[in-house]
Amino acid sequence: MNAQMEDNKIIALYFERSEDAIAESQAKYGKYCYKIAKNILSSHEDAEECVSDTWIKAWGVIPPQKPKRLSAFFGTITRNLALNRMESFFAEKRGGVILPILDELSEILSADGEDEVVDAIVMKEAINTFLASLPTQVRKIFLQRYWYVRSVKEIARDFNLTENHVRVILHRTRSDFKTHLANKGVCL
Amino acid sequence: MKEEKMLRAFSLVDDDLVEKAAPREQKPKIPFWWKRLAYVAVAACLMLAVVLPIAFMGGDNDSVPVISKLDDTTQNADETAPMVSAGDTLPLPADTQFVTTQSAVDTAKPAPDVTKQPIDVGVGPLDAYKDSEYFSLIEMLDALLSESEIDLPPSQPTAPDIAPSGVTNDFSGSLTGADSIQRSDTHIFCLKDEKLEAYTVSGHDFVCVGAFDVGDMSEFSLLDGGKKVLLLRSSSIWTKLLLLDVSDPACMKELRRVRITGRLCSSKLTDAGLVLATNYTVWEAPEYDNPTSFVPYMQYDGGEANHLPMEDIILPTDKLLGLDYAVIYSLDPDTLTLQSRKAILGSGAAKITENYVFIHSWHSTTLANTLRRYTDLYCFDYQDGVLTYRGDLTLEGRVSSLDEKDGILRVVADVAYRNSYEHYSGVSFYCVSLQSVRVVAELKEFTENGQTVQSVYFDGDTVYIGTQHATSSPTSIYLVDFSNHANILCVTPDEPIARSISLAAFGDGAVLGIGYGNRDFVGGPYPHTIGIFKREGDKAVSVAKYRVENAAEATGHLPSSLDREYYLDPERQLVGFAVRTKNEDNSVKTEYILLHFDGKTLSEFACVEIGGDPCAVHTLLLDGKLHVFGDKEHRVISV
Repeated sequence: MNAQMEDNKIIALYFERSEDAIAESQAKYGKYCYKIAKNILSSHEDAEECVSDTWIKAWGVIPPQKPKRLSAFFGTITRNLALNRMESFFAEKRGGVILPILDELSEILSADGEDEVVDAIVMKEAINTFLASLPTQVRKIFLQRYWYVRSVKEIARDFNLTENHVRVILHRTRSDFKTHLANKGVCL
Repeated sequence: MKEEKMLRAFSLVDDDLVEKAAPREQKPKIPFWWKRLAYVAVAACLMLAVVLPIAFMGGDNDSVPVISKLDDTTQNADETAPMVSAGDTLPLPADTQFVTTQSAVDTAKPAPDVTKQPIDVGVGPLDAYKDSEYFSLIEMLDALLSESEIDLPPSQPTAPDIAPSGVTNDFSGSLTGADSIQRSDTHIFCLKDEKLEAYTVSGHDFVCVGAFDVGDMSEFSLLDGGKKVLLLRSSSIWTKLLLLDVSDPACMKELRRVRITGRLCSSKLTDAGLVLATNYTVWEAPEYDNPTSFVPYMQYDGGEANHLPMEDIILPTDKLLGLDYAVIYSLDPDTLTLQSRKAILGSGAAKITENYVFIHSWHSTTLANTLRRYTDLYCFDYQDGVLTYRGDLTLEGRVSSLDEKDGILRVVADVAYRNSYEHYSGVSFYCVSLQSVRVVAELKEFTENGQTVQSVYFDGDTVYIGTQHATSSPTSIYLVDFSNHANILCVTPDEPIARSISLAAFGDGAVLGIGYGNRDFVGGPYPHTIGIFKREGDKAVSVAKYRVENAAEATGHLPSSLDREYYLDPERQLVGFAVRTKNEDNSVKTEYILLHFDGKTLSEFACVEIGGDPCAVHTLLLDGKLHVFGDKEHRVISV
C-alpha cells in the first residue's frame, strides 16, 4: 500500500469500487481530516468517528462525483460532520479552540437581529469573492482560523509571526468581511 | 446559534482556496543532544551486535493491558442535575414563629394536604424584578432549518417593576444569589461571590456567622459530619481542591490546597477514600527533557510537582495513542494525602462505585466498509484506598451507563454500525462479572432501529432506559429486567410523553422523568414535562404527566433537562423546579412550581413567583418548610 498514492489513483479506486480506496484515503488524508475534526470537537473518539464517517460518505458519492481537489473534498466532509456533531453537544464537550472562534465570529454578525434566510449560493459567492480579494498570507491566516479552526498560537508559529500580529490581522479581516457582507446585502 | 451558522458557512469556500491554505504538518522538535545520544546508542548496538528495545511509551511489556478511554455520557439518577432531597430538618429555636395561612405547622412530615393554601409569604430582600427583553436567535436558525417562513413572536416587552404589596418580610439575611447551598446539623453553608459563608437561623433571620475567601472554587461537599468542607474546581487543564476546617464556622481555616493536572471527570467519597478520575491532555508539543510538560502531576500547597511514576501507567498493547491520560487518584479525605494512583495512556470516561473504578473509552473500527463501535473497559478496585488493576474487556457499542452491584457490572451501550447500504443504531445491555471480567449475560440490540440512549436509571435488577430517535424526538422508556441472567426481559415502552427525559428514583417502584413536551409553534420554547413511570405487566407506562403551560424559556432549541436544580422528595412525593412562563400580556416571569403525586395524578401543590434566572434557584428544607432562594428573592413553602 502506497501511503502517498496520487489523488487521481485514489479516485480511480473509488470508481472501481475497490475497498483499497478507503485504506488509501485513510493513509493519505487520515491525519489531515482528524486534525480538522479534533479542532472542532474535544473528544478524540468523536473526531476519529467523524473521520471514519468521512470515508463512508465519500464511498457513497464517488462516483458519480469526481473531486478535483481531494484534500479539500474530504476536509469539507469531515468539517461538516464535526460541526453537526458539535451542535448537538453541550458546551463542555466542544473543542478548546471553538469557543473563542465563535466569539470572534459574532463580530461579523449583523446587530439588528432581523430574521433572514440566507441563500447558500449568495453566501458562497460573497465569501469567495471576499477571500479572493485578500492578500495571500491574510487569506491563508483567515482560513486557517475559521475553516481549519486552528489556534492563534499554531497559526503564528506557521507564519513566523507573533500571536498579537495574527490577532490584529484576524480582527481587521473580520471587520472587512462584515463590511463586505453588508455591501452584498447578506445579513446574518 | 448564529455564530455556528457563520462557522458552517465557511464550508462554502472554494476547494482550491482551502487546499492552498492547508497548514503545514508540524513535527515535534527533538533536542539535538537526543539525536546525538541516539546515534551513540545505535553505534553501541552495532558494536555489540545486540538490538536493544527502545523504551518508550507504547513499547512491548508483558503486563500492558489495553488502555480504555473516557467518554462518559451516563445520565444515571445519581449523576443528574443537583437534586436536593428532603433531608433531616434543621432544629430551630423553640420560639420560632412563621406567618402561614395554615392553622398550624405540621412538623411530623406526613403527606401534605393539597386542599390547604400552602404558600407561605416569607420574602427576602424586596428588590424589584426586571427581566431583559426576550428574543431568541435560535428561532432564526430553526427557520432556516425548516426552510419555511415563520412569524416570530414579537419581542417581549420589559416586565414591569413588581411592587411589593401585601407581603410580609418573614426572613432577613436571605441566601439569595448563592451558587450552591448545603446544610449540616448545625449550620447552612453557601458558596457565593467567591466566598464560603456559614449561616445559622435565629428566629426569622439567616445570620452569617463566618466567611472564607475561596476564589474560583465552583462546588463543595461537607465532610466529617460538617466539620470540614472540601471545595473543588475543574477546568480543562487543572483540577483544584481546597480543604477547610469549619468546625468553628466563625473561624474557618485552610487545611490543604491541592492542584492536579487534568480535567475532573468523576469523583466519589467512600469509606476507603476520596477517589478522583481525571483526563489529562498534553496540548503543546512536549519538551522531552521536562517531565512537567507531558507527565501528569499533583502539587500540595503550591509546592514541588509530584509526577506520576512510569510504573503506574498502563500502556496499550496494540496502539500508540496521543498524549492523553486517564488518571485515577485515591486520597485520604481527612488530609487529601495521596494514597494511591494509577493511569491509563489515553483519555476516557470514568465511573466510580463503592469498591471499583471503571475507565472506558470507545472507538470506531471499519471492517469491510462497515463502521462499528466498540468500548474498551478497564476495571480497578480500591480496597483500603489502594488501587489495583483487575482486568479489561471489549464490548460492542459505546458505553452510555454503568452500574455495579454485588460484583456484577451492568452496562448500557449505544450500538451502531453502518455502511453504504444499511445503517443500524440501537441499544444493547450487558452483565459483566467482576470476578472474571467477562460478560455473563447480554441483551443485544433490543430497541427499534435508530434509537440512541438519552437517560438511564438502575433500580435493583431492572434498568429504565430512555431512548430517542433524534435529538429532538420524544423519549421512549424501555425497561430491562435482568433478575434472571439466563432470561433477560425487555418490557416494551408506552407512547412517549416528552423529549430529552432524565430519569430519577421516586419511591415505591416509580421512576420520575423530567423532560420537554411538544412546543406550541415552530421556534417556540419546549415546555417542561414531568412524568411518573411504572411497570404494568409487559409495559413501562406513564401513569401521570404534568406539562408547564405558557412556557417561556429563553430558547427555542431543546435544552438539557440538567440545566437547573430540581427538588425531589420521594417521601412526600413532591418534585419542584423553577421555570419561566408567560403572563397574559406576554411579559415573562419566573415561577417555582412544586408538584405532588397522589398515586394517580401529578398536580400543582404550589406555584410561587420568584423572579430571576430559573437556573440559579436553590432550595433548602428546614423544619417542614421548603425555602426557595432565587437571584434576589426568597420564598418559603410549607410542605
